[in-house]
Amino acid sequence: MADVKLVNISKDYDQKVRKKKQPTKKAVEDINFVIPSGSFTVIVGPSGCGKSTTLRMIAGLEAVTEGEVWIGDRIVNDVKPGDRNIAMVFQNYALYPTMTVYKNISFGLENIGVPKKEIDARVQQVATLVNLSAYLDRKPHQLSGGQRQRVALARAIVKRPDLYIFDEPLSNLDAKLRAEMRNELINMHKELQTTFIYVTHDQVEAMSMADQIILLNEGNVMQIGSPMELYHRPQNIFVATFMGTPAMNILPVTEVISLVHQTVKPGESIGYRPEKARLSEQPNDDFFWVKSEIVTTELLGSETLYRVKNKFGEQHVKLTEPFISTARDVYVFVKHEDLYFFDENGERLEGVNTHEHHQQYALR
Amino acid sequence: MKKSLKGVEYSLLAIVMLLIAFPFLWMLSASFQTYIEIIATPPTWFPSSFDLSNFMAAWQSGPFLTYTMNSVVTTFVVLVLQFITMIPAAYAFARLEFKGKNICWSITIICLMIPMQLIFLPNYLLFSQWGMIDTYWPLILPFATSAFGIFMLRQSFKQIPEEIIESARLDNASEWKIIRTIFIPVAKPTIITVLLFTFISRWNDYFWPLVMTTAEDARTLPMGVALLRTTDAGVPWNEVMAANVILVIPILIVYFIAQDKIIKAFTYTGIK
Amino acid sequence: MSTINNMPSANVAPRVRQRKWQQALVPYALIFPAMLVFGLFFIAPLVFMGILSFSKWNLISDDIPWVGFANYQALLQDAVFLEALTNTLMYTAIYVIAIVGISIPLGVWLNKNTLIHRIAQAAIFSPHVISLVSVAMIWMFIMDPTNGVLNVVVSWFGAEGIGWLTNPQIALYSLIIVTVWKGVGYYTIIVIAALAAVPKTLYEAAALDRASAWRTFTRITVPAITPTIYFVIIINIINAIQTFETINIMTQGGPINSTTTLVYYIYEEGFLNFDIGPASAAGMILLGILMILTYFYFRLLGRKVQYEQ
Repeated sequence: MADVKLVNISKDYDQKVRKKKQPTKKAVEDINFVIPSGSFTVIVGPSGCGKSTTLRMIAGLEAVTEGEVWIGDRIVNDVKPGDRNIAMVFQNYALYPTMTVYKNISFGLENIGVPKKEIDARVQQVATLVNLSAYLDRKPHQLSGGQRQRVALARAIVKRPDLYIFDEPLSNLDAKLRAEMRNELINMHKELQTTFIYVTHDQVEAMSMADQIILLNEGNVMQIGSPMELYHRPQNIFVATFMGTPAMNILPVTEVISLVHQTVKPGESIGYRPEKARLSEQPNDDFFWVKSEIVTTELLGSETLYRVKNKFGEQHVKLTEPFISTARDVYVFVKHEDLYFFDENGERLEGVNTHEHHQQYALR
Repeated sequence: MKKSLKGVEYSLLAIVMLLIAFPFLWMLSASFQTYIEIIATPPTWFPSSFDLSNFMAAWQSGPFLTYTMNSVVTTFVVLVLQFITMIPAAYAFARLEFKGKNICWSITIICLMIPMQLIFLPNYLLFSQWGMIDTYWPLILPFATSAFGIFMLRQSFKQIPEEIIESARLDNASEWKIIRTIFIPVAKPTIITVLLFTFISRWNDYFWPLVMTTAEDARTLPMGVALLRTTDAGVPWNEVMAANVILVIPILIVYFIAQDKIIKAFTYTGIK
Repeated sequence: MSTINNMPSANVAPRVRQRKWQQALVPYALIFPAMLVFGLFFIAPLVFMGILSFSKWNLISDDIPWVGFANYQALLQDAVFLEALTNTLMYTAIYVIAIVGISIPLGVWLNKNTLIHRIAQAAIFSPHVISLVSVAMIWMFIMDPTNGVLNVVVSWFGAEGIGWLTNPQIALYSLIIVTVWKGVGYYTIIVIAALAAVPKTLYEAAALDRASAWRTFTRITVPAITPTIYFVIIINIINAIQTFETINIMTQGGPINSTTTLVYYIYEEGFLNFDIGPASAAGMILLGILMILTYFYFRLLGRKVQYEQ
């Protein structure tokens, strides 16, 4: 059991590869973070943000251009992937196509010379754990997507690694199976009590599974923290709009606006989450309000999603009770403590909203 | 209307098949005919008896056992050597990065395109310089690897997803083990294809042994058969055809057993 | 304390470096056997041939006298060489047209998955696996002037017997018939494979648009298999240029050089007459032709490879 630590990590593909992937920028630039031992850390970000590159550098599948990768108390930059005691689950499962399920699971153990008897015992045990006992003689192409996924998991678990690495492992599954597997992974993490590093582009996965999220964009760390921290206290517009669906509404300010606690200058922005806003036929000066009109209404069952238009542009409002009105003009209003403010660079202006006083979401 | 169209199609099919099959059938028929029957006009369509005397005569007209041995040995050794040399090279070209890779790959492609008919002369001079004419060496060494095989195998190695290899690396597998347990099994159909291709082209080859051998006991089966036509006293077609039956039948049997694979093998070479 | 801490790293570093150095050699070790074969028996002979083409070597003396372009000049004045060049051109052109002209319609016709069609496919392919030696000898027998079957068939139509391999006007065409018989099945199968890759929906759309069979063929089938047609053309040009076995067995380049092709000329000059210089020069000319063709071949292939990625 060991912390994983990235110190000033950069990755620059050589010219040839770069042309294809990233024309000008480094894939990853000067990244620093710690993944505490035993945590379930999700690295999340839009595609091309460098999350897979980061993960692959931790696994040793990609050379580090600059900086140090620490696993426990050793720098592993030059340690071969096989010697890092890491197990990895890939997006396409990467099962060995010509080997049976049993062979797939036992392959890694055979390579490090575990005695046959022990291999068999461990394979059987893991197969039971992931419900694959009946399929040990099958080849991967005879299995369903979910079963293949479980073989990939079994192959990881059987090695008893210090560190599990998941590279978008659920994106090839259908929605229902994905939700199931999310739960299974959370349970697995609880049982194994080992560090999980999980890469995804899906913020819902990040929110529901992580106890630490590392949000990347264009090769840089945007924010590190617990899901609730990122949701409630985003450090910039990117984080604010990336976490949560629908995304936080960002209202660009073009003239000075005076609110109860502060004034907002042109160039800055105001943000509010769709689920924190309400609609009314009357303005109400106890709140921040904007005169708007409703563009579209989407009934989602338990909620209703409105698209509204006003002088700031278009925004989303999500209500649990449908808002029924015949009036042409409606008013969007938001509690002052639910507002976020961002400076002209998109960084959040601290200390102006009551969420600062909310409980601190510490790491486990 | 529909029915008659089908009738026309089937008769056309029959004609095409006959055009293809006739030379074979004619060879077979001639191989059983007596000399009298062979030189008769109009020709004898069906032999009067099916005895094997022509085959015996053909077989005994030269050291055919030696020819056969030479063919078997050289073909077999070439197959083994190709298996050994092709796979590592294809793996390196498909999966590893190294300086000079592009040049080496270009050389491979050039060798893929060069016909042996172009370079036989310098090769002959080389082998005669080394005193290797009339040995197995000139029939084996130039074919010890196959540019075509490397080309095909590289293609199929490239299709193996990178993640599978990375998985294996994380599973502590050595490069050699990765080749052995992942690449070779995945590429097995391609390997069989290439080796079948090599087998047929080596077994059938006439040109190279013609150039590289002068002594009778260094020759291969196709050469031995071809030599039968150069008898002074008129060509004994019945015996010549019997010899050809001996040459053709094994390949035809292999062909009809592994027909799917062979057709795939040859078409694949065409498509890719 | 610090010295103790430094000790292991000082020991480890060179070993790691050594391992890296060894790993850098692995790719070269893997390609070495293949490259050795290519170098010794393909590339070196090519270079050697280039050198010989500028010399007049008698195979015995130690020094190789340089003659510059004399061999090439001599070739251009050698009537046999020029005839070989024309023969090669004629042979190649007619052979390729015949192969393409037969294999495409045959492929379209046989592109059905019924048992009888599959048997037909297997049958027409079968000559391709047979040794050219046998093919040549069977056809020699069939084309035999006195009691060959072909002349019997000709006589059924009331015509005179034809000197298939003895008439200088005809021999080259007879050889083409033989190689077409051997090769056409193979290319038919290739056309069928290409046809199988054409999406069925295209034909369904055409049927819905009430396209006639002919328009479906010209507007959908032909464009879809055009890359394959190019491929078949170029491969067959290269194959035709290499033809040797049939000539050697059936005609030996005769009668009166009417079937002497470039390859056969090189064989006769270099191997039978041991005129190494002129043969090498002819070889270099052939190499030039092949290189131009290969260039076009890879232009086409390159397009396909890009498509793949």
